[in-house]
Amino acid sequence: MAPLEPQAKVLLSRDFLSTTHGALACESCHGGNPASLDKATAHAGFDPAPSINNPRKACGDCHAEIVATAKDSLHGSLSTFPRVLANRASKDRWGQVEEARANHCAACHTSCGGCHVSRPRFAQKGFIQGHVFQKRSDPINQCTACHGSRVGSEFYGERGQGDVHAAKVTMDCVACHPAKEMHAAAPRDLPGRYRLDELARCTDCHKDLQYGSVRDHAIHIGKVQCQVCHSQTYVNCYGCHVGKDAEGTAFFQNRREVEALKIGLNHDAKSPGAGYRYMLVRHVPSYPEMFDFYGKDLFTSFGAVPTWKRASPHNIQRRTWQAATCNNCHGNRALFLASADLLDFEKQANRNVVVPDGKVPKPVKKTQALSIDTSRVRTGMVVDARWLHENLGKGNVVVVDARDRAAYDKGHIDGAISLDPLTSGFRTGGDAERPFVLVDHAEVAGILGRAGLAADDHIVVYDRSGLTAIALLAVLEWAGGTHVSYLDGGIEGWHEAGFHASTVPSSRGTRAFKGTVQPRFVVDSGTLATLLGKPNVVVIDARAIHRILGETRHVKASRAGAIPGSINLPLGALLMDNGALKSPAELLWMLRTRGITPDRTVVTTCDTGLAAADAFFLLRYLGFQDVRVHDEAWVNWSKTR
Amino acid sequence: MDIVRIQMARTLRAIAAIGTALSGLVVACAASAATAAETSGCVTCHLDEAMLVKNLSGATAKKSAMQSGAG
Repeated sequence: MAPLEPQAKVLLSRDFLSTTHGALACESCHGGNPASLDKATAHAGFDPAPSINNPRKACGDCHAEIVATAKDSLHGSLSTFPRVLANRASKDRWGQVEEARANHCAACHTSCGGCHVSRPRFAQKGFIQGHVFQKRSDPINQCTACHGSRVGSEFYGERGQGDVHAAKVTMDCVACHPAKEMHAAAPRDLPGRYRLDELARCTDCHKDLQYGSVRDHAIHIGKVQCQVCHSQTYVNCYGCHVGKDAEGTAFFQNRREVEALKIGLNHDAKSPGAGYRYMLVRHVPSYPEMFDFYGKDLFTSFGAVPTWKRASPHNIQRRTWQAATCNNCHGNRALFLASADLLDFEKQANRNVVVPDGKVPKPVKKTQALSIDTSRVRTGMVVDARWLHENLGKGNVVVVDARDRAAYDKGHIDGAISLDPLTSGFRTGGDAERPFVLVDHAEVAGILGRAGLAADDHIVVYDRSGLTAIALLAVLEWAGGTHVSYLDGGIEGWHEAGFHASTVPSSRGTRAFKGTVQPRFVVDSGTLATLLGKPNVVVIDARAIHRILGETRHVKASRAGAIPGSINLPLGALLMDNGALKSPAELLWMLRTRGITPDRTVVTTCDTGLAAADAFFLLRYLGFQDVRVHDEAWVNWSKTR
Repeated sequence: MDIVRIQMARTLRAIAAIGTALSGLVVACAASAATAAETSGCVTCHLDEAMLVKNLSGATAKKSAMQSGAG
């Protein structure tokens, strides 16, 4: 979510003046001097965040009962942080730990205003709807403004397929996390947020499942946390480095994120409703040197608290790969947290979370096998780091770095040329009559030729997330490239495999691309309209769920919405966070659960054609025979239809 | 009625502080405050986008340029 412009942050709407809160004098909550029109004098004694600094005075006169507990809520106090840090910290250095906590961890806390009138402080503030108070928090501008990278991305399908509660029944955050939970006072020294009695639980709505018709519920309830079977992969963070910059502004740097799913032993069965044996665990970015900016050796008891912690990913699906058949989980050692998954410094911390070999459920002897035909997968369209390392400089292999030039200059695969598809002129600009569409073939071929590429080269493309690299591969296929491949896992996968980067730029001189354009790969809006509703055609909208729900829209789109009859499959369902791919079998199975099979004609669309191009290439890799990109995408569709 | 309730709550707090002798004056102040937001200098500026753009043109984000990764 982009920060608001400075004036937009403090611009009132006239609607506010006719609301209950708008009838109050501004200074009664914020102080300051309303008689002055001079900026400095008017703001003398002004409090921009009265509900943080004095919630009783700002909100308590009318909302006394709520303020009485909400000021001590988890959002208001982050009361579990001191407890966790104290358990890890050296007792005689608590002052330094507390200073770091206040500067970094406590920056996330919010209060009444951050949930009901403005974006929270962590999200750089700014009025929502011109300071009109909202009884129900805004999931985009408020809840996921802070809980964005994990909860928001997972819930709305910016990572994975998104959450069924959002996609199918349009539930927002408050639907599961109502005021009763949000305003509840967290008891002092609460060991963790899962110990809060008012916390939302699946069983608040999904009651008595063990007596229902689903056999696996009867078998697993009481032994396994719901999310073990119903979550998708989620992000794990490593190495939160904190400090202050030259201006004294506090910062944190999260050094590494890995999308995965791990099952651990439940080390905290005392949490309400958590008597199960197995639960999902997520890696949190703590490490012993995390607060070294404030002092050395602060965490002398680092091993007292796990770094793989209970997880409740917000990406629930009724059907998931690990639960697709018994032995996707049973006997699948890789799914269960092992000592080998731990870093050296965290062995002690996670001793009660690691699942020993003897506690990995044994394979089930009689089970129904999944029938997934992977024979059509075009395996040559994806290569891994090891293959590329062995083939660098051999034959006609050409490596293309699709990141921006600055990233390329910092370090790239040796011999790779730089070609950023977002700035190379393959598409019209945002202000064009038809924004973001591919320019004509001759122009595209010219750009590719000037980069030193020829249609019969074996062109391997990589980036950091897959997004731009795969979009470039789609352009190459359309332009007539005969042998193009994606580097699975991109530059991170290259480093993970132990290979080095170079800072020496490479170029290949100008060549003639000589490709034969493949017009069958692209459809315009007129053609798409004629295909809608045909029984063998599937239109996949690769955007995030909040776009489909109409909660957000692209800045160039005329309105929010989606093409009628399209199926929402967020790109994150096909492409993992770091540009890595799940197995073809898993992807084909997931697509099949949504009725998307290789025998059908598939048209991919999105906002600007970028994610649609990614989905196009990945479906072709999976063996789909007839895939086409709706290049005009929603930005153009919404203007005319 | 909500407006009256809010203003009364604030008024009562003030009354406790300054005593019953001045209560009539405080009620009078509260009554005028019901329209204060609309007429205050705060609103004059904060409804004027052009003025805010001019006055906030030098404003910079407080987030450190060194911050990276998800929160």
